[in-house]
Amino acid sequence: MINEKNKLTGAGLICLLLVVRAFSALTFFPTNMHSGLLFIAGILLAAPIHFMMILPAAKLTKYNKADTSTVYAEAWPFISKSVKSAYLLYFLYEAFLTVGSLSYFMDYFFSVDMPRVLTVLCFALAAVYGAGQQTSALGRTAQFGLAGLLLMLLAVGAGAAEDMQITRFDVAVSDQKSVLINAMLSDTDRCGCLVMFSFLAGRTKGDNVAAARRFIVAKAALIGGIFAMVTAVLGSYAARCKLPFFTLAAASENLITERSDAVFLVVWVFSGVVKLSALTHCGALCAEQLIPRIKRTSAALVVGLLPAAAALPVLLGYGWDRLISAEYGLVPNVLLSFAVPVSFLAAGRSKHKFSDNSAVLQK
Amino acid sequence: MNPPYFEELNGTHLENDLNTNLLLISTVLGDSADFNKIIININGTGCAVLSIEGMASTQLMGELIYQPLTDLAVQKITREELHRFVAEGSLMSADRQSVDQIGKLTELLFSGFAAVVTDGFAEAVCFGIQGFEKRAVSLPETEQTISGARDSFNESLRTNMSLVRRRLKTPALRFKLLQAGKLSRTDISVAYIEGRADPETVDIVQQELMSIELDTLLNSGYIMPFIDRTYGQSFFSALIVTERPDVACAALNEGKILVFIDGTPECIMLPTVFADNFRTMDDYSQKPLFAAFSRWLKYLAFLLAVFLPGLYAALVTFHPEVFPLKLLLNLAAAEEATPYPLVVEIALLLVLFEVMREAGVRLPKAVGGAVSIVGGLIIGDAAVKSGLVSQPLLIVVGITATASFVLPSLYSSLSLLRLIFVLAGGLGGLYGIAVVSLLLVFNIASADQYGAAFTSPLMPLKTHGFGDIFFRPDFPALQTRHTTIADRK
Repeated sequence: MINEKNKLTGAGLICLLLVVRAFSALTFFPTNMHSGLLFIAGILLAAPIHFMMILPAAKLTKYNKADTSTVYAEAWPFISKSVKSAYLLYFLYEAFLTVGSLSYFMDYFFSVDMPRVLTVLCFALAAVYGAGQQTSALGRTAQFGLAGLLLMLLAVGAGAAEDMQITRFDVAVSDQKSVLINAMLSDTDRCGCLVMFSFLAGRTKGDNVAAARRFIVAKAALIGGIFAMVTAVLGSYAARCKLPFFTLAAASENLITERSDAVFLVVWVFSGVVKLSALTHCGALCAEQLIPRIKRTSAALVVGLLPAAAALPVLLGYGWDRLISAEYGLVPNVLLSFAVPVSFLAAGRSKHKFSDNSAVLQK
Repeated sequence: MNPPYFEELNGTHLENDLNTNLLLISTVLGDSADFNKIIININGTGCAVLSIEGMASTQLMGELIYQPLTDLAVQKITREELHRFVAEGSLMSADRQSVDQIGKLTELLFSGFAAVVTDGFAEAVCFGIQGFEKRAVSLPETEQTISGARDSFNESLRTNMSLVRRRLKTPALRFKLLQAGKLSRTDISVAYIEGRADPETVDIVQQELMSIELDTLLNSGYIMPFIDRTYGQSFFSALIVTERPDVACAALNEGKILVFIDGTPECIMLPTVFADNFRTMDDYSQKPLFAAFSRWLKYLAFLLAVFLPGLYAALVTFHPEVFPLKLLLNLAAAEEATPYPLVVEIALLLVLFEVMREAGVRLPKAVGGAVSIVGGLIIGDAAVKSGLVSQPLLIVVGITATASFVLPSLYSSLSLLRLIFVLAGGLGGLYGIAVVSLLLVFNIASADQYGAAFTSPLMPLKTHGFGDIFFRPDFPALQTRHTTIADRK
């Protein structure tokens, strides 16, 4: 049974997922954004759909005291192992994208005097260290991260306030309906946080349904706010360039500094490594469940270094541009955050196979 | 016997014959020059008074032991009546024990007891008439406050216990006495308030203390690794050491546990949280608004002490565009004139500062002023004029050093941390600062001590006690009991 002390609190889970989502929003701006206002509307409209997507996972933990990856581990071992493997592969892929993007943008924008190999290694090792801690520590760190993120948004917003114009919120597109739908799909495509919710729900104290509701509302507000700031200052076509929020931060001045991109850098790196640590931690948990003999530190090391090793050749070969602009598909997100939990929930209700699998959560 | 532990003495008992006992004791003590042995004959019954030079009070020994025994010498008294008089009669002292084991007897002698051994009885009656030299209760040296008490703990365990008892006149205040140190047999006291402290934690602490296998315990640092659960993992100590009785009593009231070590003028408080390092007694003797301002100043001092040199190195080296133009031109001109890279300059100045600080601590007070003059005027001024270091850098290091003295309990951690941040900022810019900050936050967030998260009560968020982190609630609000270790049941 997982120690209660090591479980995430509801607030910790929400903060962790918000940091993960915010990093994705700050880094992977959708290139198909034709209208900022419609995109924000799409984000808001997608919110209830995302809530419905993670509701089965929240209810699964409520009834079974276990999460999607471990429920029915004894009843259906093959299916359970397949689900765990699917989660592991997903987290590895997300970690690959995250570590690669962190390193790519590091020397693309920030002129850091370090070779890319060293940058990747530093990120990976920092994530391994974070992943080796308890889940509760990850939540607490994310709370710090979110506080820093909100302060950064406030500082950048305040500094760019005089450049904001309401007229930049236009709906000058030919097909508003398809733009809205694209926006919803694009937002869902970037919501790896939903998969993380379904995985970590079983390791969270308190009411997961309430946590899901609060998370979705907070996410919609945060991401909508980020897009609103970028649109208000830079306009709807800001997404055509890389890291538009960096451009916004560079244009933001205040009483002490000429630009706020340094603040953005610190918070962006912090959020990125928190996301990387969370992904590595979740991957390590999957690895521990698949291979019981493996220890947490070894699992974290393997899961942390593998994506970095995979990303290096692409980075050194200057091929990361293709990955940045690729929309990597809704299917894994929908499958792992919704389809799998709802299937388990339905199967459990229909066959009355509710059992207390909390003993399976050994670590 | 196998020196130097003499553990087998605990199984060696006194004999009925006085001469045999005296021979046994002299052999154990190796005819030590500080062992005093006075033999008195009272109506044909031999009686020996044993003590260690300088440990027992000569005056009390005269009044409470020699005088009554001398008075007895003129009376007709049997051996049994003599022994009863010594063991139960009018030889008065606050602490009186009868022992029959050599090991226990030597322990009491070395603790300042005087022992009376009567011929024909296989036991010694020990009287607690300690008179060893001890320092008087004096001003606190490292935790000074503007208002509040001026007393501090000293090296005597009993005195320290009384300083706490005087302030907390509740029968719920408990002191548990232990001994640790195979050679030193140091007395340790664990203090807590019954009903406030977690009983499980009290038990664990006592067990950890009793399991210490060290030869000597000479100060609190010796036992910290045994009771600090995060000693080898966390950068910051999850125990706080204080020399102030009022701070110790406030901690007891919050459900914390104190550990006193005989011979150490301070006590250890546990479990503590990170925010406890920012609270002082001055906060509770001022108005809430100023207390809150003072609290925030400490947080700012922490950030300055840790981040300022590293941030300076990062921004000047990698991100100069952040600075306003006028400041940038001044910084560029200053740094252009110096021969070394900025990170080397900063590291050099910080290390030099630590050397001077260490010299200031070790030097006699009479010479200490000279160190300040040498450090401040000669080295600082001369270094700038000769072009070795830049003036803005000297300001940065000066602010950093001053800020770190605001938090004495964190000084050692801050000294190391700022060097790490200087390297991270100087080599990796803000990227390095961000990564190291994250590692630091992970380190703080992962420390859990006896069920209390080190980031409590901020994370996990507990409203009860949360206010005391950022401001000092008004005393009517403090009537509801508050504690920072709020997440434990």
